[in-house]
Amino acid sequence: MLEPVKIVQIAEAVAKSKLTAGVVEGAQAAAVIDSEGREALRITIVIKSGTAAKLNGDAVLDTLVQIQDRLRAAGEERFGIVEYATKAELEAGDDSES
Amino acid sequence: MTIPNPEHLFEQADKLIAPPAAGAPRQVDLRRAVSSAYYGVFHATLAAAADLFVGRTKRSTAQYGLVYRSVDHRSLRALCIEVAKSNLPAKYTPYQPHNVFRSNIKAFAAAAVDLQEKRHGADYDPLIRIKISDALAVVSTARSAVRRFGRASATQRNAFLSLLIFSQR
Repeated sequence: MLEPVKIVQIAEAVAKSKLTAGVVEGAQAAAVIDSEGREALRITIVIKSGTAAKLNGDAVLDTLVQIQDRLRAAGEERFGIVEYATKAELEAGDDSES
Repeated sequence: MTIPNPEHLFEQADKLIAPPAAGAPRQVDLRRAVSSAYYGVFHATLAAAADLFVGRTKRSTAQYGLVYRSVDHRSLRALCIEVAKSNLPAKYTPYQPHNVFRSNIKAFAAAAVDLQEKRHGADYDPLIRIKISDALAVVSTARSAVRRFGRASATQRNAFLSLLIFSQR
């Protein structure tokens, strides 16, 4: 099980190499429980505001694959769920309903 | 028989994410968008399997429906988790084409698991908040997954679909 700082390093490095230059601002990682009750990782790629609609689907998928491959190669057995958010979205408060 | 068109599900997701005249998209719309994106991938997989084992020209037959309905989310997830890894478990290795699933099928498998997990959260978890950025990335990933599956060789696709439909003993 890797330390969160190492997971973030891997995720950020992969995202910066696969996605359009200048889009990625950072990464975050948190331990979660997946839909089947297993330990998993939620990895959030923090992107610049206004860039999400321009993300290339193949690049997003390659980012997912390579993050998972590199985490496994580093000894991480938890499944990584990769998400995208801007800083503003991460800082926004939660409403109680839709 | 009306087979759900994956691209129509992706277009539905696009519409649900598009900002309304005022304010941000509703969370219920973003949740449905994530769900539709996953279901685009799911139905593309089911149609590919039934086309292979029954035939595209027999889409209106009961046999086609039987094969189409034989795959559930859990079995797709279980296979995709293993295919996405570098090394398949021994029970699958005799069925791998040339002893390896190549990058297009591995990418498809990784996407299917990731999207299914997000679909589960979007449909059932009241504690999550879907970000617009992530909903957009989910739909892009789903479209790419279907493209990558189509780009794989017939040998690779058929091996994957065989493992999906038929259980090993």
